[in-house]
This record gives sequence, C-alpha cells and structure tokens, in this order.
Amino acid sequence: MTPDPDDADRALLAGCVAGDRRAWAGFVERFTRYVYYLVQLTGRRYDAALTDEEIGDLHNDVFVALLEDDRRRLRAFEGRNGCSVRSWIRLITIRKTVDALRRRRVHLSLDAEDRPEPVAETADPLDQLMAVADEARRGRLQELVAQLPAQDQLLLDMLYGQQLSVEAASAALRINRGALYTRKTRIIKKLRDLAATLEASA
Amino acid sequence: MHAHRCPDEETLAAWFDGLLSPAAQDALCADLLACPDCARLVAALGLVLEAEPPAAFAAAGPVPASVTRRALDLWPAEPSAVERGLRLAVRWVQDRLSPLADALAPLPLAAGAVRGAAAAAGPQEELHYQVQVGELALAIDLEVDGPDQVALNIRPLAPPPAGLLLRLTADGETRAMSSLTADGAVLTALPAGDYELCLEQRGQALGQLALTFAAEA
Repeated sequence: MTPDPDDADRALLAGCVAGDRRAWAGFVERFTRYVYYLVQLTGRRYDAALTDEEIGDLHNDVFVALLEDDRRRLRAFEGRNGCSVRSWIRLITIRKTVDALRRRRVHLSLDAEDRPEPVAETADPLDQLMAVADEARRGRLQELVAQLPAQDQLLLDMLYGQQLSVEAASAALRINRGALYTRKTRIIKKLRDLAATLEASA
Repeated sequence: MHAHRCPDEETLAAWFDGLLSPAAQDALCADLLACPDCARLVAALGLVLEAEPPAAFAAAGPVPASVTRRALDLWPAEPSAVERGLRLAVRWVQDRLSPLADALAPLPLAAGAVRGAAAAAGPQEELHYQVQVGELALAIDLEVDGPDQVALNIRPLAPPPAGLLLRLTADGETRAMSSLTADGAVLTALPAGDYELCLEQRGQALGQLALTFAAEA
C-alpha cells in the first residue's frame, strides 16, 4: 500500500509543535518550493508583477505565520474534515499573498463590472427578478430567498448583493460557469414554487 | 441573525477540496452570507486555485537557496551565552508608565515632547530609551497602548544589516516576531510580564535585553 504523503507531513508538523528543530527543517524543505510556487501563481493570477525580493518576502511571511505566537497555527492544526497539511499550507499561502496584494492596493478583479459578461440573447429571468424595483415586491422576494438552501442564498448574494462576476462567484462556489447558470435556472423555479405555495396557503 | 465567525483556514481548505459535509457546507455558506469580506476573500482564493491545473506545480522552477535558508533560520536560536545584564523595566501607575528604580533610566526630554505630561519626571504616557543590543544601537519607545498594555516601537539608530529579526519571548516561548529594518519594528498590545527582546541574524543571537512591564503596585 502506498504510504499517504499526508502522514509524513503530519509527522513533521507534530515534530515542530514538539519543539524539534530538525522537524522544522524537514517541514521547510518539504514545502518551500510549493509555497514559492503558490506566491508566484497568486501574483500571476492578479497581474501583480512581483519582484524576486517580494516573492521571497511573502514566502518568508508564510513560515513566520506558522511560527508566530509560539507556533500557534501549527498547534491549532487538527486536520478537520479530512483537510491535509498540504492543502492547509496552500490556503495559508494564497491568503497571505492576496492580503499582501490588497495592502499594495493591487486591484483584485472580482466585480462584475471588471469582467462584463456577454449579453444573453434572451433576458435572464433571475436577473430580471432580482432587479425588481418595487420595495414591497423586493421585501417579498427577500422572504422567499431566505427559505432557499444556504448555498443558493450565497449564490444570489454574490451575484446580486456583492455584484461579483460570474467568474468570481463560480470560483468561490467551486462550480463551473455552466453549472452556475444551471443553478440560477433552478433557483428561479424554486422561488416561483415557493411563491405559489405561499399564495395557495394564504 | 446568524452568529458569524470568520471561517478558519482548515475549513476553507476543506471547502476547496470538496471535503466538507453538507451540514458543514451550509454552515460555511451561512458564515459567508453574514460577512461580505469573507465571501470576497473566498472568491479571490477560488480564482487563484483554478488559475492553473494542479499538475502545473510539477513544472515549477527551483526556490533560491537564500529564500529557503531564511525560512529555516526562523526557528528560535538556541540559548547562548549572550550577557543579559541590561534591563529595561517600567510599571503601571494610573494608566501611565513609570520606570522602576533598578532599571535603565529613560532619556530626559523636554516637557512638551511628552504627550499629556507636564514634566519628564513621574509617570508618562511615553518613555524613551536608547540601548545597545549586541552591536546595534536602538531607540526603544514605550507607549501606553490600552488598559495595562504597552506598545514597543524599536528603531535602529544606524542603518541595520540585512536579515535582522526581533523576537520577543516570555517564559522561553516566542510571543511576537518581526523583521528589523531601517524603518524599525512595532510590537503592540503587550500585557504586564517579564520578557526578553532578542536580536537575531540568520538564526544567531546577537544580543538580548530583559524587559519588565510590572502591573500597578
């Protein structure tokens, strides 16, 4: 049976928590290239043109974050929900880099106005519904939306509340663009069903 | 109203790996609904994660040896024989800082230079010191940073060499860490206690200074 690489990662992490300097050396050697790559990737994704010095600083910031406050982050790792050490390091690295880019005022293109979607040949019924101007109807709509599953509510909030682009909303929800449009269609049907059910029981 | 808590890194990592249970997914979505900042962060993370296929990492280039070395050297240096005779000690007196008798004396300053105080003597909102830690001359400013909390502003008095790290420890454990550049370093929200301020370079201890912030007597 092939050994699980996460077992080795966890053993190194446990060694770091226990104060073993050699474990830290092993941990750094194991993840240094991955962290460096992820910093570069994040910079590329946001067209940030990071210098080698900046990439090195961000790389260092990730490992500082793991050690600060008496190795608080390392101590706190539990592997909940099957999260691997590698995935956890990946998340920390990208997050730190994104935060640094924001502090540099690098514009992270998330909004719909940054990436205009092609105009649909037929009007999107959910777009029309969410753009309702009448306050009474909007209030009614919000009551119906509140009865949707949390992920559907989040989709609506991202697209219509925060005005994120379809690309950004899809990335956040881990679905492709086609699946997002399918969900929108499903949501409009659900809202209509909910409205009809409420009217019937009124 | 949903009691929101920003999702932690493990939860977000599991989310993007598709490992969360349906109930955990709903809980995360509820948290993101309650916090637009978190939701936008998740969108930003997602855009990076889908930017290149996982296999692209295999073709990534090497890391400069100096970058890896720098991370390796973050591990606390072993205790050294560096003399720790220097001690900077203050205590709280009615929301002000006052030097303890057996410690460094603060620099005498004109009354107008100290915020909210009439004279350099007696408890102050700020205390200013100049110390030598190793071969580096530092200006250390202590400032009231809240109830029973002190902020440290540490500035080199000459351009420092590269790769300096300031480490604040208490009971042998690192409490705060910061690179020391020409712009200095700021450590905030330090509660009462005994600390050691260590200056390191590439894993080697250059000097140490004992710090005491005593509670009001």
